Amino acid sequence: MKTLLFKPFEKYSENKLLIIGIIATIIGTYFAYIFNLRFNGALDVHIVKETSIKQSIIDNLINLISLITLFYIAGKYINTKTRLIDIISTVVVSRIPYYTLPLLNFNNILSDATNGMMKFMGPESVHHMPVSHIIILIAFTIISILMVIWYITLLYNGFKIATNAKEKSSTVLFIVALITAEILSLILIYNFN
Amino acid sequence: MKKLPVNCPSCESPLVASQLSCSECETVISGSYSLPVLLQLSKEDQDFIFEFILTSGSLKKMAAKMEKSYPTVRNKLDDILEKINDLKTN
Repeated sequence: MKTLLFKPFEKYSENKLLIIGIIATIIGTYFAYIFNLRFNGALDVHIVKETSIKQSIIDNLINLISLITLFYIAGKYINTKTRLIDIISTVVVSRIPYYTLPLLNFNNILSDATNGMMKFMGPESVHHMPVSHIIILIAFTIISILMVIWYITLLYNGFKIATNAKEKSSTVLFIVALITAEILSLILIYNFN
Repeated sequence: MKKLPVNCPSCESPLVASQLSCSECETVISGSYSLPVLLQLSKEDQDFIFEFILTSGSLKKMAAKMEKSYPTVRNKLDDILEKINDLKTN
């Protein structure tokens, strides 16, 4: 079970992982569209008033291309035997926990809670803020943090197996690649989507 | 089968064979014979190399047989190669 949840790259073939990852990406993109969430950065997720299917697809394409490009460059630097297919399957499978987040905005529950809270933001009315809205947003924050940790753990484990990385310098390179992918995806989404 | 000790339990230096004997006529030969590099590897690594030969060197077949992914098996082979190179240079 631990292998399946955190180290699927150790056991399952790249083809199996790739198919599962692509199906999850399609479903995640659709969820983002119908539940009004945007993956507007490799590590970002934001609740929006409205989103289009085109916007959801471009967001995810930019995120995937940024992550795959940066991790492939870092992987080749660490080990010349690193294969592109292992990096692609790592990235698409690692994002599966993230794709569950739009479900939390079912029936616009998060959007309503956010808008509801905004109405009570003044110094006088802040004490009248509905507790249910606060609980909903705290729960979303906690679940989001857990999903980010799961997502990055999967990325790191997959990257380690794809590159046979052992040195501490490889971990530093992984962090640099992840942060660079985040910045690159933010810039690309901001300019093109 | 008994595990062949390859390192001294006292100082951890590599062991050498100092006596060989014939199981039929009990002739005993004394000397100092270094162990081949492959015998100095762990049992797990030796089994891996054995499987590698049995699958004609196909890592894909090995991965399927071991129920592991291709990069996991390739990494194991790379680690063994690194150990062999270390043993050869020491």
